[in-house]
Amino acid sequence: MRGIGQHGLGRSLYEECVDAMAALSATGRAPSDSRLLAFFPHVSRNPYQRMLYARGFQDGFACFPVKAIDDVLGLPPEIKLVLHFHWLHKAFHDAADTKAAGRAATHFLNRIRRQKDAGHAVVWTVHNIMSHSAVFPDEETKLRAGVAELADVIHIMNPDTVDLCAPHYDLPSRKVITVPHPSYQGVYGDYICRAQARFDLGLQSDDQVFLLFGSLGPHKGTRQFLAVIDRLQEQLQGRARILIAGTPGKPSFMEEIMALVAGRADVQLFQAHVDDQGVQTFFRAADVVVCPYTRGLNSGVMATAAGFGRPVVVPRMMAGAGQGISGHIFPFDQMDMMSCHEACVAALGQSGGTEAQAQLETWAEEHAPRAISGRFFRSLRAKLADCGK
Amino acid sequence: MTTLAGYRRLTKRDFALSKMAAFGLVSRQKVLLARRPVMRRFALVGRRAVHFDVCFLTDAQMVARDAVHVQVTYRPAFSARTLKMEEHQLFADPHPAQARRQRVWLCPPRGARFADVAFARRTRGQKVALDGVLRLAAGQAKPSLADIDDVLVTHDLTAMSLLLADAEKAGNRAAAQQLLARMQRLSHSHEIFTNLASLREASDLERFGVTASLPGLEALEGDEDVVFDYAAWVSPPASDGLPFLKQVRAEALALHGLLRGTGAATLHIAAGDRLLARMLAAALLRTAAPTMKIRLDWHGFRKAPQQCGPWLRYDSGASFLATNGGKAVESALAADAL
Repeated sequence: MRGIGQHGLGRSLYEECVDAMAALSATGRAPSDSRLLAFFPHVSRNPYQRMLYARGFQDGFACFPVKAIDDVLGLPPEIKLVLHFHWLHKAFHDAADTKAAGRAATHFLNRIRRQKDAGHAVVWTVHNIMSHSAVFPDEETKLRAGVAELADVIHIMNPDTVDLCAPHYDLPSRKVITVPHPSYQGVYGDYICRAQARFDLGLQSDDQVFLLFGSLGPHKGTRQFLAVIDRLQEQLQGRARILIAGTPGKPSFMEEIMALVAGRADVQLFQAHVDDQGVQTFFRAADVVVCPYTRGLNSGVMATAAGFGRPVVVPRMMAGAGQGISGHIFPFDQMDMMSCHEACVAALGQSGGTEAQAQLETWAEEHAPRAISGRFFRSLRAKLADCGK
Repeated sequence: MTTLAGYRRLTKRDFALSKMAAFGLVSRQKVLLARRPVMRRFALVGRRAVHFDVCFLTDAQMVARDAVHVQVTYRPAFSARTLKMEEHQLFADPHPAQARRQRVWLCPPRGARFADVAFARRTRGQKVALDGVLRLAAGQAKPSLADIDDVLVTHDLTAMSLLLADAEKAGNRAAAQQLLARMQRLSHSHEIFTNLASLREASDLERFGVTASLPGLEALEGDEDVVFDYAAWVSPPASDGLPFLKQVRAEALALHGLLRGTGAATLHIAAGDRLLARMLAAALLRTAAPTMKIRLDWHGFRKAPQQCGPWLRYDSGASFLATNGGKAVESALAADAL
């Protein structure tokens, strides 16, 4: 039985498919025009998947998660799915060493191959060059190359993705659709003012506030940023305040962060999940949002910052994902954290300008989840038709 | 993480003994603490500092800061009035193998004959256990700043508090910074954060001057000939518990209100108590009221010793004005000064 956790319903995958066809039919879609999109893995705390699939029914797609990709093999042969893969690291969930990881990659690819043989279409969204927590980089590269080869459609958000992945694995251009990351307009609460947000966090109106937001982990560059923060303070005459907020990572990593933060009155660490209504407090309080990541292609934090009208500092490789707001994105060289601080100072100079705010709000409107979702489904349908699926 | 399987729950008998302040009187205790405290009375000999060592463990994955509340009440006689009360928030370690003893110091005030020590769990949703023999150790000297390196590698928050007081007295900022950094790792106490903020702000003031501002403040439209005699701190004494810069900010806002109320556009910073602090408040106010005229006896300020909080102390005002920050403050106040 599936779906209990998400919707309070107990349904088999087959029952969900039948319900999906009925629901699509009720919207006036002909069966020939209706598609069932099953996605894996399902992430519940990150609203990305809900945003991406927001317009599914209007565009003839019923979207639902599959708990395990093997579930699909039990479906009757007349049901053909669009299998949409997101983050691939789950393939290595039980792997204890590189040998086991190698076997897991092969097994995962074989399962996708069987699904393709059964007539299902395969779509992959490339969120990262490598998983944030990649423990077996060689095996993961092999897996990613294999999925790219098997996929019928590859969805990228950053137009530079193909080039950035090229040193590691190929993404065939003929399969690629480019649909950017949606903004979070209408997703996160946005009704409190800057003064309230700063008051709630104990910040003064003239503090220069830099926000590092999102789950805490080694790939986020938090340690590197904190290690050289004194230079930023020197440039800003001690007026910088650093907010770090997000779900805590592994205990050993958090102890490292605690050690770096200890003794710093200019850094506030909020190590907890921030709910959808709490996000605004941090982004409204901030002058600049900083993503000091050591690697990455896209960032929900960048899209969130833009939605709240805040300039954002990102690694250079990620800057391409901000098409349309490049003037508000301040890239740095991810190998040089000093350049991150220079980008922070430059971004601060732009923060608070009404013209910049208006441009970012326009971008957020144009990239609202329903708008991006519509673009995604139109591009997907066209590409699937190209490859006869 | 540990399941704390070898630790027993507190029983009715424990709480009955606690009522007589006799919890843990005879043997080593390995108990799961409750939110209801258990208490033990210790007899004291004179004013000599004594201590006991205990371990605390948690079933959480990370060190649980402020997991244990320890309250120490000093009394002059059995069942007599309270002479002094101290509170400590101690942490709990997640792994028994890494659990370190935490030292609780008892520094009796004059006249104290007994100390009642109560232990309680502060956290919800996680178990916290006490492991140790509740016995006072005598004969060891109270730690001093000379022991700082040894103290910094311990989990001994009470010793760190004692050293911090010494560092404050000596105006030793580097030692205070080290101690507060370590204390912040072990505790989420707001007092530690406030102290750290004050220390940092004092250091920033010396380097950069008053860099804060007061945005949104109404302009001063008083008469230049009306002089406000700024002879004493005008904020309530409660502001002393705030971080340094917040004290100055509160004072500047209060001062602004007084200037508007009296229609004054000239501020005479008179000699007297907290002169340096008042000068800084005036410098901050000036960022929002650049037309305000300032009168100050610079000569008197230079000659006299000056102090503002524990971390800004000078043999003479001239020493402060010789710092980069002091120069910036002087230049901000002296512009158009009368």
